[in-house]
Amino acid sequence: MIKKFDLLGLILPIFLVFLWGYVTVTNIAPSYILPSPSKVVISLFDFAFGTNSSSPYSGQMLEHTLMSLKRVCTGFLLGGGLGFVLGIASAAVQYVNRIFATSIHILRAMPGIGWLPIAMVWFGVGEKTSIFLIGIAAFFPIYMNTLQGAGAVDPLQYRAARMLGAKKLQLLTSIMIPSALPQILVGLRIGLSISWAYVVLGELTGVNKGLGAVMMDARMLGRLEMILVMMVCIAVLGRITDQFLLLLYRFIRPFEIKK
Amino acid sequence: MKPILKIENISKYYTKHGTKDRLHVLDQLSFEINEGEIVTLLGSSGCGKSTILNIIAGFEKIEGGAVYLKGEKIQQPSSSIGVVFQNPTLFEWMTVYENIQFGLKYKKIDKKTERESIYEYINLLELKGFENFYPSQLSGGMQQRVAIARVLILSPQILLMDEPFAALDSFRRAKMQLLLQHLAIQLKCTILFITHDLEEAIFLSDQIYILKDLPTQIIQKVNISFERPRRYEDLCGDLEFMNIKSEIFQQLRHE
Ligand SMILES: Nc1ncnc2c1ncn2[C@@H]1O[C@H](COP(=O)(O)OP(=O)(O)O)[C@@H](O)[C@H]1O
Ligand SMILES: [Mg+2]
Repeated sequence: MIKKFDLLGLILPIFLVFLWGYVTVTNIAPSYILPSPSKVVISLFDFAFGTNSSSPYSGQMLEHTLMSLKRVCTGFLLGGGLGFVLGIASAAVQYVNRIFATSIHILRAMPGIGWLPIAMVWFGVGEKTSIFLIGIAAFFPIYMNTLQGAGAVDPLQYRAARMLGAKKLQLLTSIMIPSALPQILVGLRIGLSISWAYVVLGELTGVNKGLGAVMMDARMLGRLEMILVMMVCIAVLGRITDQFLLLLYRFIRPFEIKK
Repeated sequence: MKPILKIENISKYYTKHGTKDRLHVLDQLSFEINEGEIVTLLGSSGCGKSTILNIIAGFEKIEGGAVYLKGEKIQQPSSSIGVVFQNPTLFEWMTVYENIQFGLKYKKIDKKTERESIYEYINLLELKGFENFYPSQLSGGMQQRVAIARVLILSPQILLMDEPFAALDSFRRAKMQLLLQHLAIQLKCTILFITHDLEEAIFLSDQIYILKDLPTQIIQKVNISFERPRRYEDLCGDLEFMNIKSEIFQQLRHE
């Protein structure tokens, strides 16, 4: 799973950072287009630890991060949960699949961003719209992957379980879901990463708190470095939550790394 | 000896996918299995052996006839009919221990008895030390032993085995046959065994039913009466063993 770290891969990013520093120091890129790397790093520290009390964003990282995290989690659990339940139900009962599959495929044709205006009409700007968008984003990949994984279980596995005494619902919990878990994880990871993209979208529409809100605010105040700081924060948070999912999975499925 | 399993006039068709062609696999097939016996269905591949086994297990519907276990009609799979498949078909995400425990969860027994019972079968099937391994970490022979353990622990009234050792090399196969014979004697199992391996059939069975191609018919019943426990080293030089072998070969040639 863990690949050996390739030093060669470091050359390009280091070069790019130097290039970034060079063009900002020499004013090839003026600061209202691109803030310098050092300014971004200093702002990041200030945002995290409140080292410079004159900035309006000083020390506010935890508050905004928690806000965004809460939205992502709520939307992800609602949309993803529905996707999981519907995916399993569709794989288990042919009728459920036949009733829902067509509609879901039609809905899926609409890119998630396309929901934004109508969501703003329905839910107003802010909290609910963000959560709705995240829910939509998380639903599709999790539904699709759950359905695919649960539908692809070897029929012999069910036979084995039945001759050992398992009955209908027990087949679901003891065979279908565990067999489909690797594929479900794929869906969860995709869903989670899209959720992070959509929380930004939702928060850009005008909420007070959250990383996306800070981004929007910084843009209006011309604080470019804060926009970049937010981008870094969101990327790091996305990565952390993804690793958390993987960790959870490895806890449930320890043998897949033992191999 | 009284029959524990009665197969009465079973008929089975398969319809080819998307066509109206029907493959007539079984036509009014009947036979019986006595309690405590090892009965082998011997036939070339494609002659309908697995189909018969899957019907008895309750996996496949039939177009006519019925199967009775101790006088009761078999309608669906249950833990009183244990099945060992050609592939071990273990649950990959469970340890050896959990695989063997699987069927016990659906019976009401207390934890302590359950644990003791699981370890008893871990020992019987020579899996000691591997209880926390996952199936993918085991050899094919070991996986098949887990598959046998998880059904025998439920004390099924009959054990169905569909070419269980076909994927093993000949040494491992011989070892497994010995182990199976040992278990059958110790636990007094009734076994319906399926194979296309003649020596395996003679070594293990009390009765061999030789099958003819579709629609499957039993063309000969061979009674094997060597004393148990049998040993390959004794049988291989035995005149009767060789006679039975050549007789069955002749029978198959005339097919
Ligand atoms: N599900 C199925 N659908 C259609 N034909 C099948 C199916 N299963 C088996 N058959 C056919 O039935 C015949 C008997 O198969 P099987 O019972 O598996 O034979 P064996 O186990 O002796 O090799 C074969 O010709 C096979 O192709
Ligand atoms: Mg077969």
